[in-house]
Amino acid sequence: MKAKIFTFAALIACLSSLTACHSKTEVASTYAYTSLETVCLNQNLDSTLTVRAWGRGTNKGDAIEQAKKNAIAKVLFEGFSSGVKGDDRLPLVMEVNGRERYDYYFAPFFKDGGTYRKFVKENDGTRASRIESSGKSMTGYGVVLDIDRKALRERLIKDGILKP
Amino acid sequence: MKQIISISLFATMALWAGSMSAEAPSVMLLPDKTWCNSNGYVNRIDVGGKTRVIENYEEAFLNEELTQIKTGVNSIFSQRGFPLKDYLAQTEGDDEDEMEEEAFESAETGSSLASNAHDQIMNKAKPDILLKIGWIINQVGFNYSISYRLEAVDSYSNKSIAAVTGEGEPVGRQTPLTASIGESMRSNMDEFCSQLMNHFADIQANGREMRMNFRIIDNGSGVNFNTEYGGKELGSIIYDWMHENTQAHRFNERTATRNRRAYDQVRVPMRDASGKAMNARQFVDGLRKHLSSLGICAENISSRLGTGGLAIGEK
Repeated sequence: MKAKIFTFAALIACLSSLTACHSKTEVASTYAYTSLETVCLNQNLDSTLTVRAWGRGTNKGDAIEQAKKNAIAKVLFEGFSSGVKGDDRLPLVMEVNGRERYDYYFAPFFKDGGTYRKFVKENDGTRASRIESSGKSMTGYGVVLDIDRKALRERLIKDGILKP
Repeated sequence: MKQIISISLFATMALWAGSMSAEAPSVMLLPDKTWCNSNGYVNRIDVGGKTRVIENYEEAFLNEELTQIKTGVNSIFSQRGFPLKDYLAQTEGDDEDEMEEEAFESAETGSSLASNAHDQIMNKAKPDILLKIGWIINQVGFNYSISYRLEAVDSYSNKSIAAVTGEGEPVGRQTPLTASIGESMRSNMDEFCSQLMNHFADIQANGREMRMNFRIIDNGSGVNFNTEYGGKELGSIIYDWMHENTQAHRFNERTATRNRRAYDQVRVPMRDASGKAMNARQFVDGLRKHLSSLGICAENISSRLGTGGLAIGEK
């Protein structure tokens, strides 16, 4: 009887820990209306950057796509003031008002499902890595993304936006 | 429960973000003008009939009190991730270069330009922020207390970023000044440093604020800012270039006459397109090259970190 109780308790504990591992983290709904900055979590040896990016949208899909766009825009036009060493902290497009100058290129680049998607993917895509904030009319998501900065730079050189 | 998770998650993230090494501005400590004047470390020079009071930093840094204060302040700022650039070390290191330059200039032209020693140091050290400190030691019997004032100034725009004044508790005469100033300032420094970081973040996002002065050299050529090149007045050519090359097109035309154009609140990007750090001289050089491509001769006469100058008409 004791062994049965012990097995049952162990099973419950195991199940609950598995559920905890795979459940997304929910935060207060006010964050669905707040702009949060993309931060770099890791500078990987394969020249990719792991970042925590945030996006807002009317649904989960919109919000995650927006987060990916925000992360790529950060690498392209702003760079990182912390968490990154060397040239990776600098924006790729350093020309003054670069986003505006090359609007003809970046507008289609950033459209839904645009070229930007080739250079960003969710780190693991599990619910555990996501932070959700649901407001009445807006949903915010924080996701962990891998950005291939090197490939992005090479693409911009190929397309004539950056000089080699 | 949701709230608890939310608060703890964001608190953890805030702590984690704070612990990461953010890029800090370079900072240089100087005594303020009031302290320099009270202690006789000023030079009075006559400029166009007006007496100007210029700090003599080189002499001031030989003052023992200042050396102790510098050590105390350096320790406080280093602990907060702002290592201070040493003015004296910079001047000593540059002395040999200057002697070589002077010898070279004299040999080439027989004359050399009058230059301001302070501007030369600023141009070489290029600190983002200047800390100007002044203090008074109040003797109270066998004890003393220290009253201080500290102001952070943007070295490019000369605008005040943050200021703090304070007074330390009376301490025994045997307490070194270094320890006394450290103890007095410690409580105010977190907010002060946070203001410095906010200012630096603004610079990184929106560019450095500078001033630009463009003049016509009166050499009888008849060129002025109303002269047309390719159907466009020279003044408009410069205005359009400024619009294109300032961060988010932010600048203000302060003066516009036939022979002079002055701009302030010019937001110059921290780096050029190739990633090199930019000061007023490099920014103005871009305009000089643009004018040169239109056949307009000009000389870059920028002498300070944050003030650009161009003399148009000859080189």
